Amino acid sequence: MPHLQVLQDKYAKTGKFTVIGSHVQAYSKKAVDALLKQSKVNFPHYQQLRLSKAPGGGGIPHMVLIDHEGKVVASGFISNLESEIKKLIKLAPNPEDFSPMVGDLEIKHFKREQKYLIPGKSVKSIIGQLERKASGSDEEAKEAKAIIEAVNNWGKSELEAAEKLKASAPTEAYSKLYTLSRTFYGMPLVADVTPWLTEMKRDKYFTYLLGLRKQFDRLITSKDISDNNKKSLISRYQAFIDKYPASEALKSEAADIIKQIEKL
Amino acid sequence: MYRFLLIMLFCLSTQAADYSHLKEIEKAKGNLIYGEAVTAKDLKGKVILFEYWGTN
Repeated sequence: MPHLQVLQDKYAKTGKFTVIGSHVQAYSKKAVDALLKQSKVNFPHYQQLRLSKAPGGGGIPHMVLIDHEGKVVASGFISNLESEIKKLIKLAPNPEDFSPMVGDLEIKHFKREQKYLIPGKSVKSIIGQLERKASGSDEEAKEAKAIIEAVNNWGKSELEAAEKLKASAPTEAYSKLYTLSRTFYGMPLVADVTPWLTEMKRDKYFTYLLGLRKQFDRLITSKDISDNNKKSLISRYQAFIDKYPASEALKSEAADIIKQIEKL
Repeated sequence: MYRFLLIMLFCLSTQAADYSHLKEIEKAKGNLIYGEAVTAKDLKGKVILFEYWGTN
């Protein structure tokens, strides 16, 4: 397991590679947690997840190397693993070539446009261009329609997620809403979002917690998460819970973030 | 024969990407036992090293 973490540390930062584990024996939380914590791994693990295209089934450990198009390139014991990974990473597209807003839609005609569909950046002009192309009935028009639909669906699902989060994680909800307001600036989808954002920021305890969230975001993206930095941020969150007469929703989010920091 | 090989090569080179495994991983969210669940969007276009393993 530690050798996989070495690969994850080395290549995940390219944005083109990731490791995923699947525990395929009888599950004992104690044994699994102990082993993973001892190995200091930070990639996800699932219980009994078997991929249809490479279900394993022989001895374990059993590796499956899948390229960026979903093709199983090697499986079992892969002797030249790192050099294979390097080769595949070179062939994989850059992360910015994929917009999270179009999901797993396969783009053939509008690859350039897709690059500009970035959460937090206005999509109005690109959507306008796509709408003009979508008027026909050929393959290109169908793809344009599908992209517009995917972008709208992405916006709606982010909006729904933000609404759900409002009660349990207000600052996370705010962050989503803020991104949406910039992404769909001048478009009907976010007509109601701006007053909502202003209203949230009127609460001074909310604004304070929003500041702490920025520190938390910086901590989770930093390369070296030291115990001192963790303790310092936890104490600030704890002080927020203990000393301020903030709403239950804000206190609950602060408590949840403390748990997340402790896990780092 | 040469023409047949050319057609075969063409078919292989235009084989569509198959992202079915990404949906399987996304749907397994409930079986997550460690770390953070990943979505199909997170994984699309990435090289994935998947390992089946056990504790015994």
